Amino acid sequence: MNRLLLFLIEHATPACDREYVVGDVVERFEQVRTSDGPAAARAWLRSEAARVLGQAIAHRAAVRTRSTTIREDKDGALFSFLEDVRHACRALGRAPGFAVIAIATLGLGIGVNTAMFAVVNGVLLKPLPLADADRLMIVHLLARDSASAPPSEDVWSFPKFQAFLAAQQVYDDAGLFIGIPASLGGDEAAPEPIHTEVVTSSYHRTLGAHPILGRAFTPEETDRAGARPLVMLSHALWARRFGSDAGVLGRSIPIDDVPHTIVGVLAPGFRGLSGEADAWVPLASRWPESLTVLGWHSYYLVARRRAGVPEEAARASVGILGAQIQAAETGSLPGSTPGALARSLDASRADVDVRRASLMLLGAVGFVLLIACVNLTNLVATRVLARRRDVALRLAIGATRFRIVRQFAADGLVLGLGGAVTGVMLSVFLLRASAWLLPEASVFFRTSIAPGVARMSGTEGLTRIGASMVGLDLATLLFAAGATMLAALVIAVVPAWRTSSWQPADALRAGMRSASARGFGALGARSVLVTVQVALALVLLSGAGLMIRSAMRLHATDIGVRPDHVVTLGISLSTRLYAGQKSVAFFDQLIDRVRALPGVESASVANCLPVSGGCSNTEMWELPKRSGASDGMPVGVFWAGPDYFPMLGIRLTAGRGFSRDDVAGRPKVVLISEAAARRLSPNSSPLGKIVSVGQGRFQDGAEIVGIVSDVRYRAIEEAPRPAVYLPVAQSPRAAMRLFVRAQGDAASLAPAITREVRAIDPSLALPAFKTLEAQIDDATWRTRVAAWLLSALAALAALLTAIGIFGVMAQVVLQRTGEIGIRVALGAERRDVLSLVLGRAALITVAGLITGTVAALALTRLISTFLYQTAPYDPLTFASVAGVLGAVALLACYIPARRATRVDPVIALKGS
Amino acid sequence: MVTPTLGEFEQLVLLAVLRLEDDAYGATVRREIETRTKRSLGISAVYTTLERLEQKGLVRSWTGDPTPERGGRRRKYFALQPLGAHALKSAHDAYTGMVVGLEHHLKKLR
Repeated sequence: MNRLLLFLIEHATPACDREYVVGDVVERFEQVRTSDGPAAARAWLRSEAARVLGQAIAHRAAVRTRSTTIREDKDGALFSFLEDVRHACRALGRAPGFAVIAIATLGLGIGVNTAMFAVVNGVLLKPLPLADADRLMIVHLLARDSASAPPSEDVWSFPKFQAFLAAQQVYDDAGLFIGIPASLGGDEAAPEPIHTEVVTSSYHRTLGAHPILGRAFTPEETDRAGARPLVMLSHALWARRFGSDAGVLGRSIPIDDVPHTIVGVLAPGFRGLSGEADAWVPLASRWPESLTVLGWHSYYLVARRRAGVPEEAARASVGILGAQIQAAETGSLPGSTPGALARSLDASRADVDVRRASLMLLGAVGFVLLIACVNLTNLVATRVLARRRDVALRLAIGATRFRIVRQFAADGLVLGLGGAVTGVMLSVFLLRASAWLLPEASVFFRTSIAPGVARMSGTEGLTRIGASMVGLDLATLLFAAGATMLAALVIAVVPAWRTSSWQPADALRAGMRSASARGFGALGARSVLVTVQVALALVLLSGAGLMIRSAMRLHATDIGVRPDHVVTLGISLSTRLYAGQKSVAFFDQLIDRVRALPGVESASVANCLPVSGGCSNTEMWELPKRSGASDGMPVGVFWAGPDYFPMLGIRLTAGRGFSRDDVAGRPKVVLISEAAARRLSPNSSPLGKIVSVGQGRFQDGAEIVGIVSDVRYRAIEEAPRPAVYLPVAQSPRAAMRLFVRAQGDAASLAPAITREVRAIDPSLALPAFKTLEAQIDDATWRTRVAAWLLSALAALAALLTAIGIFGVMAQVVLQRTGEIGIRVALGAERRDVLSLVLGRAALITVAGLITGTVAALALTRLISTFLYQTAPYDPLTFASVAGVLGAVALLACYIPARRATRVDPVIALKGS
Repeated sequence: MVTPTLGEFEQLVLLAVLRLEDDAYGATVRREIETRTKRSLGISAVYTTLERLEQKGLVRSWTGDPTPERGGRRRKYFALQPLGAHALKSAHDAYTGMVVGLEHHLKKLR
């Protein structure tokens, strides 16, 4: 007979029926063995054991309802722990107020932690969805504007890429790519704006992204001039535009008015390294000229490291090779050029700031969980006091200490599980809400891949951040489970540790009296806990205060334009159909038509949105070039129509603006910004000077006719850089931006403007309209969201702390009711009683505020990169948050203090 | 006196106790129900129900002597109490009352 099975049956059965049940099983086993043989008997025993185990809880429940006496526990450990859990559930059911507060507190703590971890996991930790992602590296060339300037990142040209491929020995494969917007025509539908990546054939191979339908590009198709235009589709575009039709291969679709033949469809989920690609087109057919021009720097380089080559070795090799390639171009010595930089794709996927912000917020939510646990410990400790008599009784009639501790562990587990369920539900809600906080379309990682290296201006990073990257997955749920276990442990340990030293007799005596300051550490431990809470809350509040101040300063910063009532729309004309002056004519016609619309105050064109990271940069020289003059002055270069400046409220501070006479054929003119004027001629007026501008065919010189006020084109946080404006009529561009100022609501003009654009050219794909105010919102996104989230967390922390203080002070008053009664009976004034209670509260609070301030001063340095015109030790912020927290603490004490002043000495003395 | 209503399994257990007379203990009650209803039962289910019936005062129990075929363990015997007999009778009456006139239909049901 299987002893193990019999043991299981024995211990699954309640003690009172154990002998009979086991006897019956043995008897039947023998009968089956006699009649059907030992094998059948063993099989029967197995099924019997399963049945007994299955019914164990019901059997116990039936037995328990009979027994009203407290039994000494002889049952199996697991089953009696289950009983403890049931007991804990029933006890919570009898105290619904406590249960709700405890589970809600814990749920909040676990919920915000789970949600934040999901974000960190999605943005920083989750493996990139690419084959062998750990071996992928991004390689940037480094360039230096002048000998003294720090090196800045630069992208690759195709000839330099080929030189790199021919000489390198550390990579298996490497490919070029660049994301560009395009317009997808065809069918009868209006042209659709899509994102394409222009790539070499090796790009998909390097990333391990293979087509699920059709084939990939071949080197002949992407790297040789004269290749016919081909396209590979993303799975999403294939499903949306072509209904997942396998017959699309070989079909021709117009992209930017050029027919492209579909050769393949990629696997679902793959959107390229730009993170948003709908289609891929070969480099050779898109920009054949770039195949041979050494200085055509347009492409990012991604490479797969050879297995076995350490990252460090690859980086060193790339540095040397890059220097050789750059030196070959300029003819200088390899040692004098900055070379190239390689970094793992995984490490460069998240912007340093995004990484830091995520970790900062993860730290903040950790604080909230800590505060929640402290509160729970206090709450549970209060309950332990209330259950003291119950515990004493059990100890007195012989319950072991282990048994008592186990009961507290069960309490902690039940509360922890309740909190976990609430928390996970809350985190699902929070993640849904995050879709609103994380705009999907307009925020890119801007990655600087090495410290001290300037970021490329206007380059989009590797992946976009957005709500779609974030979700509950196994790792996140495991994290939630871990947080729960930790919380349950904290909840269970303190009361278990406390009660384990109780002597039954003392406990009974104290329990009978029900109110005594002695015997339970005289609340010392709980006061310390509340002090810690106040300190934690102060740290969070100071962080939030600093961020709010930064956000306010950002909001108050003058970016140089009047953004209200302005809507803008990017229009990319085909360079084939609108060469040269044709584009000027198009935009002139469009401006005239839009201006005639009802509700439009004015309209103009320019190429660049303010606070968008900047657009084009070049150099400007004063002509004639002085001999021995150093390099030109780096400037941002912008194209604008005549009405652009008055319309956006950019002031003309000297000279004249662009006029309708500044057209092709007339003398070339430029406007410069005040910052440029200061740099160009600090002591005299620059008006009338002739300058050479490195772009827009303005190298041969143009006259400065006016000076305009500064605009922050790059970022709100960044001081305006010198800028030069070219009249679009003298330097035509196919890609411009229409700016329209409305008399009323700007966004409502969108349909009418679309109609006017379509009336001139129905084949144009129109990207979305954007109000200038929305653009500024996007630009302040990071600071605003961080301020928002930190404020919400800090408010939560303050609330939890207030609850904690309230709980402890209420307990203090309850336990000292007798003492207060005696004092009142001996003639103490209401004032004295109040100061007795409030004095205690003030002590706790002040201790917490001091500890918190010291901790905050150490920790706010970590967020100094997020602050704008605000010092990490900003005294005003620190004073205000300490004041706020102090007020909240006092408020939390008010009710218990009032109760203390109303103690009736007669009742109080009777009670004790 | 209020007659307790019986669940289906309670009825089966009571009928087995009634049928087994002096020999009604866990194993025999289970065997009786298994062979007559062609159901397979766990011993705990029988004890759980007997426990409940005893609490309601429908059966009483006593402990027998240790026997060698059970490894020296005792049996717990059960017998019908008057209240149990009454409850069983009224359950049976209710059932047969409902069945009257339906015998033909019930036979045809599968």
